[in-house]
Amino acid sequence: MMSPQQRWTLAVFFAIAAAGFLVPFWPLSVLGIVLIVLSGHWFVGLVVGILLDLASGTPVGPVQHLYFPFTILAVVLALARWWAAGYFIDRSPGDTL
Amino acid sequence: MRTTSRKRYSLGSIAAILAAAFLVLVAVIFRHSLGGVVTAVTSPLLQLRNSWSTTEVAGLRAQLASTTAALADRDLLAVENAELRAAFGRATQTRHLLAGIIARPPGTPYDTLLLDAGSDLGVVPGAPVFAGTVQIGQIDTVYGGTARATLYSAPGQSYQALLTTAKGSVPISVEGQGAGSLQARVPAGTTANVGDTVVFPGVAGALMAKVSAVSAPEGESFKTLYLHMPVNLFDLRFVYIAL
Repeated sequence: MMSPQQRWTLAVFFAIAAAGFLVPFWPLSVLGIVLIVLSGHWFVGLVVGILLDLASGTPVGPVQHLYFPFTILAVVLALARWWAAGYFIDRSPGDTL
Repeated sequence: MRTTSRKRYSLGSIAAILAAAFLVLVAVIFRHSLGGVVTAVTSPLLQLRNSWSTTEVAGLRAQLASTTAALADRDLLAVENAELRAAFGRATQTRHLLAGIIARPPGTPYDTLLLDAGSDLGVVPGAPVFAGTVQIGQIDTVYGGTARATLYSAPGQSYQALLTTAKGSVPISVEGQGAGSLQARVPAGTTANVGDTVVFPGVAGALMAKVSAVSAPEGESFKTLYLHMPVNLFDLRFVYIAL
């Protein structure tokens, strides 16, 4: 279960990603996904990425071969966080002292 | 120490990964249908956003952009009109559909426009999109009530066109650079000046862009033409779709 603080954080990050679509200013959406995934909510980040890709349509230009760029960003970030977590995150939790 | 790794591979994690893979698979397979649903849900929000942001200044800017687009090809039309009067007439029977722009660059990431007209109104993929009389792109994806148009200035896209100068027409390959800018390379001996027009080949060749700068380095066998669409894509509110 998420704490109320985590819920608020997730809501704010989601709002940033949604604002990027509505403003519209797509880098905000990228920032929103980065924040959501790096805060540990990789599944939510992935879903937001899929929704943004569906709403943005098939990419053209340099990123046309990525096909689902926002989703791929979420997956790459999730894998990076998972890899980094083994080295940096929660290696010495305070509550075990 | 191993508790964290055991937690990492818990049943919940595996279920979440499988669910994520399933979602991605569904999105890949049913992209077009799901895209239509997402667009149908979000387009009212975007239209509401557009209505909020329509101030008097924004309205005047939109009018100015439309007028600029309408006036941009006057010289070209005069020349074309003279040529056509000298030759046999060949009228084009094209119906135009007015479409409002729901989302535009830089809000959209790939130099695309989201339009509020779709297959319900007869829009089909590949239909040319005009701002005034300037052909700015073509319909890429069509949904029920919306459609997505890719601008000719989209990065990585290239098109065959004609550079119309005072000395005649030269076939060129135009490449999109993003945000209404395009680029073309021509032999160094080609006469090209700022203000020359670039049109699509064919009888009904519409104006596409104008030369805004020419780069001809000393000793190079090619010169680079920097082109821009003679419309302000960021202030447009309406476009026309040729049906």
